[in-house]
Amino acid sequence: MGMRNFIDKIKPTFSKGGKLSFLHSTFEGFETFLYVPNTVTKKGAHIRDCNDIKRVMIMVVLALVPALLFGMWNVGYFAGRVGFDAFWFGFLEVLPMIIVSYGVGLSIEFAFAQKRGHEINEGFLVTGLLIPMIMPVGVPLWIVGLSTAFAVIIGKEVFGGTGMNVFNPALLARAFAFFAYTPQMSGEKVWYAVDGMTGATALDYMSQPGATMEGFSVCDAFLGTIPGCVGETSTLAILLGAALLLFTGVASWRIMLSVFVGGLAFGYLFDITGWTEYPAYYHLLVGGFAFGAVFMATDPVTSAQTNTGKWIYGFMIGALAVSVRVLNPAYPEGMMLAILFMNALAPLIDYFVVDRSIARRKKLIKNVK
Amino acid sequence: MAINKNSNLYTIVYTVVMVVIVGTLLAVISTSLKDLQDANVLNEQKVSIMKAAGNENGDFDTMVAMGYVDAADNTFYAIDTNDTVSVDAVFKLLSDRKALAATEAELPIFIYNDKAETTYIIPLVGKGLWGDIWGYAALQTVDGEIVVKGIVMDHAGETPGLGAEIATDGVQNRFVGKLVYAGSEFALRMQKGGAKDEKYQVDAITGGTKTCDGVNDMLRNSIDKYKEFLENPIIVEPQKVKEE
Amino acid sequence: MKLSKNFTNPLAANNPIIVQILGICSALAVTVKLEPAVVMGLSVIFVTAFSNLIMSLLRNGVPSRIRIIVQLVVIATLVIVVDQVLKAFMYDVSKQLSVYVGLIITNCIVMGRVEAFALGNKPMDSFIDGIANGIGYALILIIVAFFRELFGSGTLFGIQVLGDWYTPNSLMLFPPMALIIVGCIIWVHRSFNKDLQEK
Repeated sequence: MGMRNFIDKIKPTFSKGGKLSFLHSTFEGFETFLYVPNTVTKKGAHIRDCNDIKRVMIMVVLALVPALLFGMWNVGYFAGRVGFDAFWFGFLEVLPMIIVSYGVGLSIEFAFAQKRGHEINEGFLVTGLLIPMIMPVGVPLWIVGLSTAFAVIIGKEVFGGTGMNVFNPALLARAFAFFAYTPQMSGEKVWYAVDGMTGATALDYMSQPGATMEGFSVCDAFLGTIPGCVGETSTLAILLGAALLLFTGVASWRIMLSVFVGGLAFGYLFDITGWTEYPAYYHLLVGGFAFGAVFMATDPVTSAQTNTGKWIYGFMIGALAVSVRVLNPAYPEGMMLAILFMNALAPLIDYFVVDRSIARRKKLIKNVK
Repeated sequence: MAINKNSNLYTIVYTVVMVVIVGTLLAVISTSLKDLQDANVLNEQKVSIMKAAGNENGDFDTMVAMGYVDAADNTFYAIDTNDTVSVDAVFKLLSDRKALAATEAELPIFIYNDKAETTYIIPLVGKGLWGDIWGYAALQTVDGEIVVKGIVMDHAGETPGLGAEIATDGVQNRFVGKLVYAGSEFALRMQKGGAKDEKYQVDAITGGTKTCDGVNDMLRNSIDKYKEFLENPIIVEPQKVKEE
Repeated sequence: MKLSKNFTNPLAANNPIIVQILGICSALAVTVKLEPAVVMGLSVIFVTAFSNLIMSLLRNGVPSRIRIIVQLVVIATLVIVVDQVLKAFMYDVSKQLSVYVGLIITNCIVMGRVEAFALGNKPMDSFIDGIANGIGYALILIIVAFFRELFGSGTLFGIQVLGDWYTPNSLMLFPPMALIIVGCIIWVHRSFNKDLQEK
């Protein structure tokens, strides 16, 4: 195999003692990207699986593709184009955002890994794609870059890199952009790539008290032909991605389901108390709710780890997201805040689940004796 | 004789002495500085009023007449500026925002006369997103229409960079030259998404919608009280002081 | 010799904010702009120095049962004096500082130094310690305020420094960003002072 041989030949240069050994992390990163590493554990009993983190991440990226492609077409559609023209227009608008996100994020990650002598971790593969998908298309590129830098440095590297972060880095980027540059991130100009076109998103309508779904049909919302952030409009495309993630066992069905249940429950509550005028399931179709439920809440690093914990975690995300949307006039998008908040509480939830399980088992032993 | 520092007597005496010393010290400082402090507050109010009228560095005492509009007969009764009791009462009312919002019968007002144009400065009070908002609106009558000459606003706790921008010159200057009433309807407002009718509307603050809604309510509630007076100002000669 | 170490330690090696981790709350609140940060820093220097001095003078006479109460009274009195003076002579600044001047009473640095140092040391040493801790605190405040005002408003001390091309970063105006900046300062500080790194 040509590539394998080539890599083996140049490997010594990058290993200890070789001329380019300080670039070992970079080399290692590329090598393991192309081939599953064949280092094996020497102690203990472990299952050998070809499905390592890199493969898992690639699966998530694949699951994101339907939403991404649709989002690109949607951008073009709202700029007045149709068909393939629309897609191509959107593609050209979104591609720079993706390039900036990956470029900035990966450079920072590489730099930190080199300095610390760690291996490159592939966590950013997914984050880098998520960041542009949860931003509105009209946001300036320098904001995308700055937010990515903030998310990677303060959100990930400070805590120790991939797998150590408390908060979902993509959401941190979005939160940073939202709070730091609110006028550039919301309002009415930012959802369209073409100057001169403005309009509110469905979320903006819904956040007025007593609102109904003006101007957008349920079908539109489900398919995704409504204005919004690049990846989050099409519930259909997101569900396709969800199906892939569930089939391959990469994401937790418990979390996805409980987020939806939580959102529906509270949406229903607000509907019957007259706080809102639209049925609960609208919440699932609009804004970042579905996207967050499938791709952000299920992030294995930042979510709850225990099964019971996952139910609680997911339910509270759904409930919080809907509550923030309805009750707080200043934040029409509640999903981002709900997930970040529950990220912080996830370890606590796990702690109590484990604690109660231990207490229960202690009691059982006592009874047996 | 060694004093037992931990005895009850010693502790009590110590406490009493300490309290007396501290109390006296603070009382002395407070009373000696009080006049300066009150003057500062008063000065700030006067500067705000002058700023709204467009002449921030002007001398309030010589240029502005102050008094009440009696809502019953829409007449302005001036207060003699030498009558310190009444003058203090007006400024005290301005500081007490709750009372100010509740006044219906006797409305405080300031009149600024400069080069034969008369500017009426009325106090504004309302609620923003997180707390009180207040200010002064300087209005003139031009060709039968009530026009904004200037406005000054302040807030207790609006979001920095967003709602808090109402306290900046940039936002306040937007109001200059706007008409207040379209016919008999109150039309002056901050419009979300950009002013649609430039005669009566100014751009709202992006990201500060709720604060701007509060401003709109504040403008309408405060200015409406003076509407009838402004349309037909009856001014009693300044020398006459309203009889209590 | 003892004098100079008392003075230099709290500036960096034993800095109240980044090493002792005290007085964070006011560091977040008043550092939106540089001017209030400087005034707050000066106020804390004044209060810490003089409460240290006074408590050190009183240390042999205070009944141990009411020790904390006496400290509180001394600190509170000093703070009230500062507050009154500001309201009279620097009214604009006092409006920006508003409640935070009163909160100096609760600033852990003041009480912390009185307990840890003044009660066991001579008046002059205590006075120096108070000044030094105050300066250490003020230094950090100024650094944080520098970044927050520069990136949050484009100004320094109210003077426009960054031109129109700069879009202000509103997050800088919020307290959480101040905490993150303090975290970054600690990060840099500990990279240079490896012995401060916890294992």
